[in-house]
Amino acid sequence: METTQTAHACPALWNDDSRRLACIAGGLALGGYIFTHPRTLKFMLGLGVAELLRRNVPLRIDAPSLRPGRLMQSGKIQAHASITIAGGPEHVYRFWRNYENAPKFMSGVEDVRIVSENVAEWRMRTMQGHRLSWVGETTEDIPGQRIGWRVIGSDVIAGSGKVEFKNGVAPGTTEVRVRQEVRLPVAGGGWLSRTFMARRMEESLRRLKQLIETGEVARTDGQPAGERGLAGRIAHEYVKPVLIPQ
Amino acid sequence: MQALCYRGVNSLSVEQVPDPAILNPRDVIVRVKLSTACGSDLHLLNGYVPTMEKGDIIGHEFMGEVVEIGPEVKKLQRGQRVVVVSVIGCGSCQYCRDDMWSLCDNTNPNAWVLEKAYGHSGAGIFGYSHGFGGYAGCHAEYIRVPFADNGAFPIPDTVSDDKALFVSDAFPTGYMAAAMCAIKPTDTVAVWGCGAVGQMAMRSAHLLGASKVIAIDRLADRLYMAKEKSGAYQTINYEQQNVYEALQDLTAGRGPDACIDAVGMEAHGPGVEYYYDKAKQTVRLSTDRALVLRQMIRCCRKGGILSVVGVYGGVIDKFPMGALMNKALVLHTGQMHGQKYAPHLLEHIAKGEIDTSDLITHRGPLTQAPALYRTFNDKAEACMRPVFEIG
Repeated sequence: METTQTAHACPALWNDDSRRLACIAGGLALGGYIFTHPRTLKFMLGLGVAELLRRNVPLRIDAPSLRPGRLMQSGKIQAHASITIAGGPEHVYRFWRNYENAPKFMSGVEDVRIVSENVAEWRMRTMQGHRLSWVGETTEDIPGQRIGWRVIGSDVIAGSGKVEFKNGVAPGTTEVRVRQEVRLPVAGGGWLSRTFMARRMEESLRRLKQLIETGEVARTDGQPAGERGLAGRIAHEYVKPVLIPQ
Repeated sequence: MQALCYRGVNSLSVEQVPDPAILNPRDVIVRVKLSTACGSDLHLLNGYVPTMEKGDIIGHEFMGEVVEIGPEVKKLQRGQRVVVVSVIGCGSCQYCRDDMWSLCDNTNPNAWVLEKAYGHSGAGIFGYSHGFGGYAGCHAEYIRVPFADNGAFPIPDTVSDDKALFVSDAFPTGYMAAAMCAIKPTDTVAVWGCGAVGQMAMRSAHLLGASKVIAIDRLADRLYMAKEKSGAYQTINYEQQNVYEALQDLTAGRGPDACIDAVGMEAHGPGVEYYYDKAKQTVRLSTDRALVLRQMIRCCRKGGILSVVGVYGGVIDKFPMGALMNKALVLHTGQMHGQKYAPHLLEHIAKGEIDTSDLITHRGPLTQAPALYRTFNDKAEACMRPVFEIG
């Protein structure tokens, strides 16, 4: 199987050096601000104490959550998600297997170009706004039951996964289970990036369900609203796109 | 267009906002003619629902005229007079197909918020916080209605705007409260809360064949309406009478067969218990005041039914689980499944079997909405429901 290119289309000015410089400058500015504002300093110290306690006091309010992706020794994040869809396994499988449907429900995916029966070129936008593309190979394809895939020919993203379609308990329904292991180029393996990856998978499956069951994805963006204020604008423009990945 | 926007706790303003647009193929745009304030809006206004944001257009109970339709809308036409139920149902998921529309799987774009809080998400609701979808509300000149074939119901020519309005929410909520009681002809039903939903619950209990209905509140005007308009056999003012003793007297020691909570999270009471709940709610050690639930569990007959349609948002304190379990009580709850009940209720109104328009006590244009909400919140001037005449 031929492997093809991987494009990492970051702007040329935004490289490792400039990023490091920006981080240092931002860190110094933030540190200066905190130390000249006593209330903020107290708050930050409080956060630090809370974090120390969290890390060192064996206090657990619940069993550990398996929902945020798990960081594996390979450096990849492993995550899983599942959903029940009103529709038979064959129908759900066909919708998924037509990879050109992916941008309609897969979070961040902007375009899929079919190269051959088992190879497609995928383009997506990361949480940080970077554009990535890679070539994906279908490694397993059992109609109505299972699809497996892996990323080939990329040095910025690596991974594999599978999706299974099984008859649900109620007649005419399908239980969809996705599991994937991915090494992301920019996010690392911290709790936040693992959580965001899991969130993206959950939102993708939710949209898949909406599309198959109703033919559309529920949305409230673009609706009228009054003046949001500064905090509201920040929440809508910067926070929500992360919490509800598109 | 003009719209009533949330600006913070107990702060509303009428603002100029963009007109809504068709966003999905099964949307319609409705020109709002009448909308009304609902008691559950007050929970949002009073700051007990954390996912409200400045600029949100509130309101979920309305009727109007279809002015624009999406390409996949099959049943509705431009110019039709419709009443729109407040919960949004896709009509395709298992819950909608089972007629449990307020549990719809597919209409809450912010489902993850409720999943974190409740474990699972219900349907989106117009103007009812971002946790319930962040849909723009109806106190505006126009509103976008998703999945409109399911949620917008043409109003028969013989039914006036005033009479149709409450089919949007208060009437189906009250009706569902009574329906959940599985009423038999010998049953006595006690209703806590004589606001619009409580009044509708009493009238619905009669429609469904209850022998006796008992109304409980503290406001004389509401108890008067319960007795005179909603057919209450007896009323109890809980500030003047011990509710448990009164109900046991009225049922010869048996207790009501079914109890309806049409109050919810901001219940009032005369004693220490109220101040205890209020204090805990104020400091957010609990989010809801559970006075009515506790009373219902204590008062209901053994093996009886509790029907809860008053809105609760989070967690309550001192829930008498022992009494609930040892008396073998059955607890039914839920936001109303308006799509299930609306056609049936419009028929009742068209036949003259029930009138809802007497719930309207105050009227005004949208510009007066902030003041009318204050009156409604304060329960001043015998305000049952203020209606905004918009279109």
